[in-house]
Amino acid sequence: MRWLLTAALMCMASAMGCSSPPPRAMPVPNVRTEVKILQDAEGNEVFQLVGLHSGLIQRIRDRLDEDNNAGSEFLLVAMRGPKSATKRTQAEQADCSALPTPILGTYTILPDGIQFKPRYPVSRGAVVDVYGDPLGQITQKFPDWAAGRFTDMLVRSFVIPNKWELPTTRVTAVYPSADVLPENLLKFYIHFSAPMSRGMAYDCVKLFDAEGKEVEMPFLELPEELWDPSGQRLTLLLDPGRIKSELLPRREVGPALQKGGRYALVVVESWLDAEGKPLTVGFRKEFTVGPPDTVMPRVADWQMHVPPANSRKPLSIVFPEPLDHGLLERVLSVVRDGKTISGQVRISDHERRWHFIPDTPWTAGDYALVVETILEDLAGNNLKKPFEVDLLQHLDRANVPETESLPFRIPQLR
Amino acid sequence: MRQTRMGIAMIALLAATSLAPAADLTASLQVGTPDIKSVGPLAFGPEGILFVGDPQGAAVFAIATWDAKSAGEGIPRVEALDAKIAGLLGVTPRDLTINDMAVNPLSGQVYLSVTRGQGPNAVPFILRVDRTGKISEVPLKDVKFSKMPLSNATVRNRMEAITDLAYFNGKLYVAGLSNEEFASRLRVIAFPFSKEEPPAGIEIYHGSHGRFETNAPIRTFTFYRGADNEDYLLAAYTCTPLVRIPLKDIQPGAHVKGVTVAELGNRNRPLDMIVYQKGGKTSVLMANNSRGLMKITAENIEKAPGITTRVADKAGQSYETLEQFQNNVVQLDRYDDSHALVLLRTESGTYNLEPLPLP
Repeated sequence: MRWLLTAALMCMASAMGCSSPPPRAMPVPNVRTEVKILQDAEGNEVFQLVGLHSGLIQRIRDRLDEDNNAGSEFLLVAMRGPKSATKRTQAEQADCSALPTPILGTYTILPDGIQFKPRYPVSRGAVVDVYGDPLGQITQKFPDWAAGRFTDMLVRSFVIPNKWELPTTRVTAVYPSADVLPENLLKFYIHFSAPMSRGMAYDCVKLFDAEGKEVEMPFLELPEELWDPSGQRLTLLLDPGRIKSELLPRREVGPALQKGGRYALVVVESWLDAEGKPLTVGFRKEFTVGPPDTVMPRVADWQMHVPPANSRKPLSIVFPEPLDHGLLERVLSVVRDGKTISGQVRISDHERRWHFIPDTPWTAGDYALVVETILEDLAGNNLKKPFEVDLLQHLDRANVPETESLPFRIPQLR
Repeated sequence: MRQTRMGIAMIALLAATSLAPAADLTASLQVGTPDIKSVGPLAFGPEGILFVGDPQGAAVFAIATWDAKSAGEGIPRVEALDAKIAGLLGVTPRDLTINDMAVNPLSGQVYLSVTRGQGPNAVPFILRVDRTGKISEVPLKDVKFSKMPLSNATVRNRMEAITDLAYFNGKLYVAGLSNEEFASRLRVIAFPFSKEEPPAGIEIYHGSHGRFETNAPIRTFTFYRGADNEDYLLAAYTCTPLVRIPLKDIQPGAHVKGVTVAELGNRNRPLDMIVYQKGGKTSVLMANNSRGLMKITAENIEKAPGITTRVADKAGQSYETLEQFQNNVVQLDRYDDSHALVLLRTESGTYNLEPLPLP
């Protein structure tokens, strides 16, 4: 067994020093690296990591030739502790003693990856992190390549399934869906196909810049996590302290999103659903950041396309900018003679269009589209006030109604 | 920790006013089984009445615990509290969430809101830790209780997280944050709960250096009586300012703008606050997720002019950081005149319940 080698359990940090290598640009970590959890002839679990960089595999192969205890020098398989790597402070990342301890086990070279066999079964439900150089260029040994930038080196996280059941839950949508988002974007909605667990959100959604560097604490981390009643939609607020003018977080570390930058919102598949199973696959949304939006949306700027009578064709409203997806589903209604018409709402064109399909065909007559003035654009400006009120500009807050009404008429067919 | 967060003077005041019509409060509750769908923040009122925030059910409950007399001596200290609770509930600690902790000031027993499991099958529990550290379940069947729905909190996919809850002078204050529109709502609900609809939320703004003002989510709040004999709400926002609002200004429908009395630096997310007195000085003790415990002077906080100019890092009321609690206090409440009670996350990932001498 030429490639069968045992990883050392000792903390190599103390033996090898802990100098920080010079920083360099990294790509966004490849969340498509696959992990297969298999059972060997004895029924023990082995992890096959495929899709690793060939340079990294070659380095491990070379090193194993020299020392069959050296597998974890370039690829570290570790249990997720109480604090994940991404939550470590920079000081902790630079401190060798804070680096994770590799799981005891053996490494085997596969044609396109590495097989790792833990010596003892890993707990069901445990999260396992795999660290290594995603570009396969670093020649230093652990922990030298890891010190100070462990987050960059996380190539994969996965969960030991609670039961041998296949994952079934996935991300179904992320809003806003547009490719260009304002610098002062206020929130993302992440939709899932089934109810999710609580308490993992801020470990499992990450924001990376164009160089693959993780944006530090971009989100407002609320212990409660903002879910909908079904547990299938998470609201992720960007930290308002980094959006609002003149507040300390923004002045100290700047806005989370910078105009002109390109970013990736990444959902990692180790996020557990309510049944304790990971997602079937991770999710990634790339976008570019445009200028901040400080202008309140105005109903007067909307275009309305009125359907013909005796049809169930949609009433369509076109907005000049994308509006908040969650609110668009809820705060617009069609009213006739004071009664709300029942029907289905559809949102399209990257949240620039709202369609209403009545349950029964339209009849000719006078209607109104009623809009709650809490409706927001992507930057939290609503119909009542901008996200930030500039006190140097007068805003008549006292006389803003709770709703605005847009009358329309469906003409008689001739 | 979401309860008696007032100084000694304040407790005396409470005793003189809201505790006076004692028996009436529990008498206002009806026997039955509260339909609690989830358990979030907890707070104690008079007579051992426990307030429970239920974000899933969009309601708050008042429950008679009949735990209104001192329950012995000592301060509870429990190692690996989560593992012990998990064992009690038949799950691994991973399937357990401790949502909040409140000390009953009358008995010295500690109440926890706990969720077992995840998603639609999650089950809410209220547990009690006695002064010796023994854990038991607080029964929620055939108890005296009263329920107040939070109006408009849940509509379609909209929900409101309850970020904090506290009782003061006959009123329950509930801070909520919507998962859709960016609005922080503070509801002030008279107790005993009336049959009428509760008042609509009050929107609270904070200024930013004179030029801008924004709506903002209140993370945690407490009460403070100033030397001017006025009562104030001290609110810690998610984006670091500590804000002072006179209680008399908090009226339904009002546009209330708080005065920023401290900026507590970046990467500081407040979790809990208590107000206490020691050596004749009043202080605020704040737990937060990244700077350990912070002790903030409350002296003259009612007179502070408000921060209206740029500050380098911290400004306003002075504070010190208790470095030994870097990052690991997840729950904080006042225990008695000389102690706080904290839930600490340990290196091994378990949670210990420990007393903390007030600094």
